[in-house]
Amino acid sequence: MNPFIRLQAVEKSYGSSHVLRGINLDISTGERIAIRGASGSGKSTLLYLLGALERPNKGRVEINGKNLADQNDEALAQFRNSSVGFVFQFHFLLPSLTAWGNILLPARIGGHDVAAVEKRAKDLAARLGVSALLEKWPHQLSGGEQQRINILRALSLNPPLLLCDEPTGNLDSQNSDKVTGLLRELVQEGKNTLIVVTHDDKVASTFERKIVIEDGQIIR
Amino acid sequence: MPERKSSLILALARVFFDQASTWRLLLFTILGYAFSLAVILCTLGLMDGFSSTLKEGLRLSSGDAILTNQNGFFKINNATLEEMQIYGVKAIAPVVQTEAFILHDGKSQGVLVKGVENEEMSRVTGMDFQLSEGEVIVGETLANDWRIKNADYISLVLASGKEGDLPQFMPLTVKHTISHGIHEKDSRLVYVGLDHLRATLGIENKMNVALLSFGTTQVNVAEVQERVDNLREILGRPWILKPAWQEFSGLLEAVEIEKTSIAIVLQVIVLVAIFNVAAFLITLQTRKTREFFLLNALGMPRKRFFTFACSVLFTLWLMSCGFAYLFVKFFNYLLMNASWLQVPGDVYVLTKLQVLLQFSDYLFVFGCALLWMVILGGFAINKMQRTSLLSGLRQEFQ
Repeated sequence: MNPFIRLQAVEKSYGSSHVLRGINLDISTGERIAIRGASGSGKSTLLYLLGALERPNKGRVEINGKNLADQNDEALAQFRNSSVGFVFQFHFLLPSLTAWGNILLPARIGGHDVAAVEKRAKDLAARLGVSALLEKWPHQLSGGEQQRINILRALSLNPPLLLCDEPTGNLDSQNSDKVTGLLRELVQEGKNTLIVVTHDDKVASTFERKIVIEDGQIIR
Repeated sequence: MPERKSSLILALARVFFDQASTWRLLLFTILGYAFSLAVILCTLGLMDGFSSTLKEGLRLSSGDAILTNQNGFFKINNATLEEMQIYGVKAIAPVVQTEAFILHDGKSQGVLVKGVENEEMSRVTGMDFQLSEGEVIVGETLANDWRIKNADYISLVLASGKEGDLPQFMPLTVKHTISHGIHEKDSRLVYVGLDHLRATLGIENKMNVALLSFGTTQVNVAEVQERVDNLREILGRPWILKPAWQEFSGLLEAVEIEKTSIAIVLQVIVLVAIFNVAAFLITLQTRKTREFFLLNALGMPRKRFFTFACSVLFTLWLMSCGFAYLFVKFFNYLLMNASWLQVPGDVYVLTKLQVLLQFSDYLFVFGCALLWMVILGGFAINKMQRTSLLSGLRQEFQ
């Protein structure tokens, strides 16, 4: 049986800088993985390749047997919309929309059934404890609240793959524990595959599988 | 599905036009662009209006073409008449034309007197002539300058055709005034009955000018010129046949050449306006790049975003064209009605100017504006297209 995600001899460079060198990696459905490494080691680039935000220079990135490099821009956008949820370090909420508007944005972009997504999002909001914040504007929310809205947006379409880039990087330890706990809980219920890039040893220790990257290569 | 699309468009509109300052900038960009387009249109329209009004005015005094003869006074025989009819002449107005002095209220001035037949002259020029013996129609400018009213008495003093004879004296009653819309005609022309003038000058059944009409409802320069050329060839000497606008042909030609060169020069104004559009695009791009990359990351294909951007630009262009059209109409209204915009007729030949634009003029000006917009929009879109999603996100959010 093929793994959910398979990376074969993936290389990525920006100009003369080689960020990833020959990455091989298999990830099964429902796995929860922490990617660790020093700054500039290539861990975020690896995450973005998995989320089809970037294309590799060489090698194959296969998700469900499909090589992302073979897809056109429109197919990749559709893939990002319906199959991937992103939680970024910087919350990336649009200041011109309320929290609720931000949460429904992926559904509107993908032309999904907004009413169904609204129902799911309201349930998730209650779980995340942000029901009272939905009509607020991003600048009215604290860092932790913004990150929870960000998680809610990422999970609103229940994507099979959830990618998080330093999701607790900007949070204090209390909020960090809360966010990590919620993430784990929600993906466990939804059977989503969770891949988290983190510097934080404490966060990484809660994951069953840990990958360490150094100089663009997986060392363990 | 259309409901979903419209909800996305609404969300996009809300994302990209969330600030009042963006709307204000958009509005002023549209108005600035529209004003520039209106300036070009008005300039072209004034030139077209000048040519058209001049030709129409000349038609009112001279029909489509003027026939004279090298020998001076002439008669048109049946054979010539038939030839003219074959070549499209629908009506001929015999005219005796001579110079004279007009006397009124102790003043005198040189005028051009036209002796005309009511029916034929009306048919050729489209104006209403109902002169009886002893009556005169006076050009409007002349009447205004001299304060001549209907039923006033004036006198014309005409030179005698014979050596040693005294000048001929014609006492006349003013029937009404007449306007050709051309300053020179309105200040110099007077009309009297043909038979009365012939009798005064002692000319029997002859004319020195024949005005021809080809029966067209509007002045069609190319068509009239072609017919005149053909007929001139057939008639040969001693006939002299010219289009009615011949006396102003140099002026009309100059206007036509100026129109092209000014249209090109005025593109500079569009260029200045396009800088405003560029400023709008740059501002929007600077403010909204993060939104663009985030929406792209969340699954909106770039193609759809660019379609949205193109729609915004197209709307901007369309609204600019709409406002430019309104500005032109408003300027034309002022030109026709506001006294402070009346031009001095002795300088501009015409007593009144108007903006006259054809569909091709709008097409040219609006088309050029669209071309500029496409170039500018293409440049901005291409710049964003070249930035990778990841570097865009990092650049904008970190």
